[in-house]
Order: sequence, then C-alpha cells, then structure tokens
Amino acid sequence: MTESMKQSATTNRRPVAGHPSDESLALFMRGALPRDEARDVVRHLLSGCGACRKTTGAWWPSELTRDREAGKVVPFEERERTPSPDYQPMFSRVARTLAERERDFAAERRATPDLRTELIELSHTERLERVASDARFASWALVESLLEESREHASGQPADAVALAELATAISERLDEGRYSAAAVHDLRARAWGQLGSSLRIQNRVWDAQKALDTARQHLERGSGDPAERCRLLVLQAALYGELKRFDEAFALLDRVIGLAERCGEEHLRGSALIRKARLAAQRDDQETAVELLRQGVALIDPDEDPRLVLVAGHNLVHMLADTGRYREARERLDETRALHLQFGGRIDHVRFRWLEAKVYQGLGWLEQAAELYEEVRHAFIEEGLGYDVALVSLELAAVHSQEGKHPEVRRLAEEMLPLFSSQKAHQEALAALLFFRDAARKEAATVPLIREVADYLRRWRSNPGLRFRGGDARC
Amino acid sequence: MTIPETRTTTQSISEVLVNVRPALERVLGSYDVPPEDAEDVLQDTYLTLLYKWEKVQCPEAWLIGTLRKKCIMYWRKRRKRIIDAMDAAILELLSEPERPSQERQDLGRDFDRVLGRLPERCQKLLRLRYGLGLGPSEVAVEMGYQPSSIRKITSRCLTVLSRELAAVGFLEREHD
Repeated sequence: MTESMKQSATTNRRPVAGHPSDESLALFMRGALPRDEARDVVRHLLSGCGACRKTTGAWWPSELTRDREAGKVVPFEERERTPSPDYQPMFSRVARTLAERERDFAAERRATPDLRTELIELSHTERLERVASDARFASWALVESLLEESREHASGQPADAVALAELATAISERLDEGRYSAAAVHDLRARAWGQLGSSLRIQNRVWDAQKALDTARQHLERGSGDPAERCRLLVLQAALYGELKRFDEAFALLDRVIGLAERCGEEHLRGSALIRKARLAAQRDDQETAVELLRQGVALIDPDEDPRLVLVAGHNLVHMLADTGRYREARERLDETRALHLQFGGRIDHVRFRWLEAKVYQGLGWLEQAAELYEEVRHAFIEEGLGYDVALVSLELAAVHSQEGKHPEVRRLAEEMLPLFSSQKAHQEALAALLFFRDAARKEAATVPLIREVADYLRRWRSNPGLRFRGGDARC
Repeated sequence: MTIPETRTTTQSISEVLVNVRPALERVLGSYDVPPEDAEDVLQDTYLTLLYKWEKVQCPEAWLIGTLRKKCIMYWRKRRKRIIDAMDAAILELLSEPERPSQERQDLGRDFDRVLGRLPERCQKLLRLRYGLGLGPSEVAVEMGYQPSSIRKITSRCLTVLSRELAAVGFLEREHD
C-alpha cells in the first residue's frame, strides 16, 4: 500500500473520544508528533486498542516481509506490486535543481586555483586557521584538488602529503551538507580521512594512520553506500595491515575488494587491489605469486584514473620479472615502461628506470650496455646527493666489472663510494659493510657473490637499521 | 532486461538522467517511497552523482544501485524514528512519579501484557531497561552480554516491541 493510499484510507475516519485522531496517529508513525502527544499515543497503544493499532499498522514503514507459506524473507522488489504513484512532476523538479547545482559546481571549480594560490602563501597552521574562518574555502572542488595533490606527493614528499591531506580533512568537515547532499559530503570526508591515513602510513606513523582510517570508516557508514568508496578504504586498510605485517588480514580485505569491484564492474579498482596484493606477496618473499598478481593488475588499471599507479605497477612488474630471472620477458616490457616514465614520471623516476634497464641488460649478459647505464645512473644519484642509492648502484656496477675481470674499476668504485655514503650520517654497520667491500676490492678479491652479499645487506639494512653485518660468508 | 552501457566520454549527466529515469521510477515504485519524500531521496542521489561524476565508471548502474540503497535507508530511518519515539514515550510514562496509583497499576498491567507477547530475551532486556531503569552497559552486565553487542540487541528488542504495539501483524521471531 502506498503512503497516499494509506492516507486516504485513514482520513475519512473520525476521531473517537478517548482515541488519538487519525492525524495524530499518522504523524506519530512518521516520527513527527510532538513529544507530549507521542507519549499519549503510546499510552493508548499500550492499552491494546484494536482500531488504533490497525491504523498504525497500516502506517508501519515498508520493510522486508516474510512469506508465511514459503517461510522466507521476500525482498522489496519481489513483493506484490501496487500501482506506483506519479513521480513525474518530482523528476522534473529534481532535474532543474540538479542543473542549477551543476552550474554552481562548475563555478566552484573555476574558483579553486585562486583559493589554492591564497593558501600557498601561508604556513600550514595559518592555512588551517584561514580555512576555518573564511567560508569561501568550504569548497568541494578545493578538497578534491588538495587530495589529488596529496596523492601526488605521497611517495616523494610524504610530509607535504600529510599536510595537504590534513587541510583537506579540515575543509571537508566544514562543507555544508545541505548544499552538497549529506551522503556525498560523508563520502568525501571518508576519502579525505582515508588519504590522510595513507599519507601517515607512508610516514610510518601507523597508529595515527589507523585512527585516521577509523574516522574515514565512520564517515563511510553515513555516506552514500557506494561500493567503490568502501573498496578504496578497504585497500588503504589492507596497505596498513601489510605495513604491520598482518598479511592474512590484508589479503582477506583485498580479496573482498576484488570480489566487490568485480561485481560492480570497477576494473581499475580491481586492478589496484591486485597490485596491492602483489606488493604484499613480494613482501612475503613470494615473488612468483607477486609477478602473476601484478601482471593481472596491470592489465586492468586505467591510466586516466591514476597515472602514477600505472607507472609504478608497470615498473615493478619489470623489476619482479628481472628478480625472478625472466629477463627476456622483462626486456619485452621495457619500451612500454619507458613510455610510461616519459609521460608520467619525474626525473628521479626516469633515473630509476635506467637502473632497471641496466639490471635487465646485465641479466641478458649484455654487460657493456649494462655498465654504461649503471654509470649514467650513478652520476645522476651523485648529483642528487642520494648516497644510499649511489652505494647500491655502484655495487651493481662493480659486479659487472668484476664479471669482466676489471679489478681496477671495481677498486675505483669502492674508494669513491665510501666518502659519499658516510656523509649521509650512515649507520656504523652499513659503513662496515662498505669498508669490507673496499678492503676486498683493494686485494682484488671482490667477487660477484661477495659484492651481492654486501648489496643484499644494504637493502635489508634500509628497512631494518639495527641489522648487523656479518660479512665474509660469500668470500671465495 | 538490458544491462546499462558503460559511460562514453561524450555522455553528459543530463543525458544519463534521461536514459535512466524509467528505471529509477521503477525502483522508487517498488520500494513504495511516497512522492513527497521521494524528491529528497532522488535529489540526494543525483547530487552525489554530480560530485562524483569523474569517478563513477557506469553512471546508470551507479544511479540505480545507489537509489536502491537510499530507499532501503529511507525506510530504515522512518522505522527508527518510530522506535525512538516509542522508546522515549515508554521511558517517560514509566518514570512519571506524579501519576495516580490506579493509573500506574493499569499502565504496569498493560505493559506486562505487551511484554508477555515478546520473545523471552526481549522481555528480560526491556524489563531491565524500563522497569529498573538500567542503562545499556548495566543491562549488558546483568544479561551477560558484551558491552559492544548490547546496542544491537537492544535495538532488535525495541523493534520487536514497536511492531507489537503498532500491530504490524507478523511478529518476527527473536532467537535467544
């Protein structure tokens, strides 16, 4: 029974002495009766008045109903249909409102660059104060723009990414729910808090990250229910679990995302979840699974939606193929990855790509080309003052020279590497590893296994600075 | 039944709305949303799409799915308003000290009669809530529930009570 039919069924009834009027009952069942009157209605219903209970029963809000014969719950859409009310005029009104809002939103987007310029000149604290006191900044488009920039800064400048996401959350909390629609605003707030959580995770502030993700989830519960929003948050939560080495929980969340995204036809989202899974598999030292997942993920992600992800995933796939000895396949993907770097990458990204290229060539046995590229990369890192990367790429180059029997070259690299690395406040253990390598190079005893041992130690040392170097196992 | 097509880059939001309108009308109709409230529900859905336009891959499917969820949420909210009003009114009625004793007795008897028709678990919980005036955490302790789950259980029992009072008919069985 539709609301209007229920209404017509009751409006003809008379208020009987001692009974609430039909209007009162109707208002009560819409939750719109003043408190005192509501109390009287409930008292009357408690007395078990059949006539009034019949009226309120007709006003009870629609819900899943149970089919007595079949003994199962019947979804709304399978219930016996009554003729639909006329929604025609309402659709026209809503379309007009939407057209107005569309124009307003376009204007808001045009105003965003000027608002950004005003904020750029301020310190972080001043920005937060300004957006809290000036209503012009309560803009959806501004929040989106800040979130996009925060994402772009996430890997290169994590502190900036956090600051931008904090600003975005502050503005999102001030958005007018009436103007934008409450559900949409909560979705955006969830996105802003999610981005803040993600940036904090990259800064290794895992507990703050978890708090931000919890806030995001609370907003999501009040949002539109869009599965894509839910999936995005689950991906971020999985990333945090991965960081905390809670791999099983992370995998379970990502499997949920993959299932949801598949049902909703969200291919990009499915792809990014697969890529995230690949990263976790790699962290677990399951390179074979990682390669397979990454391959599937790369095929699904959309460059327009997240160019950085396409670049990183493509790059990592080549890297993993090389790590698992599939150099030919890795080489086949180099051209495509190079194009991605040229289109979407920064200078350092490109240097890292050249490094990867060198690694593939080395694996294929093209030592001359590999050495040339390693040298190029090494110089680029020296220019950038990236001591740790200089050390690593120098070791790779030293391995090539050692393979070719060019011991003086190996020694030159070993001597040059130390001052560059020690200027970076390096840990004693890492320095000890490089000293060990230098001493071996001086004695022309820096074999490929020895060099690899030092390089492996440096890689592990970076994520575990307390790790001790027990050099010499590979000496032969 | 056709599957909505994936958005092409040239399709505008107004074109999408025209295409999907009959399907949206069917959704509203199947959920019995009254036209006076349907306007808010629909407007909320449209505006959400507007602000997410760049992110939504298939606007038609998104609109239908989101409107469906909003219809369910609409009825859920409507039910919650009634249940909250019933709950507040019963709490007030049973705690009025100035009520004459005969009236208090009548009220107590009526209340017991209604409670007697509810599942045992709800009877116990609601007596603790209304009769002894215990708060949710105290009720949880008394009944041996986790404080985290008591809200959900209380909400279920209040729903059962409200349905009973409003004579909705078929009483959903509450399992202990």
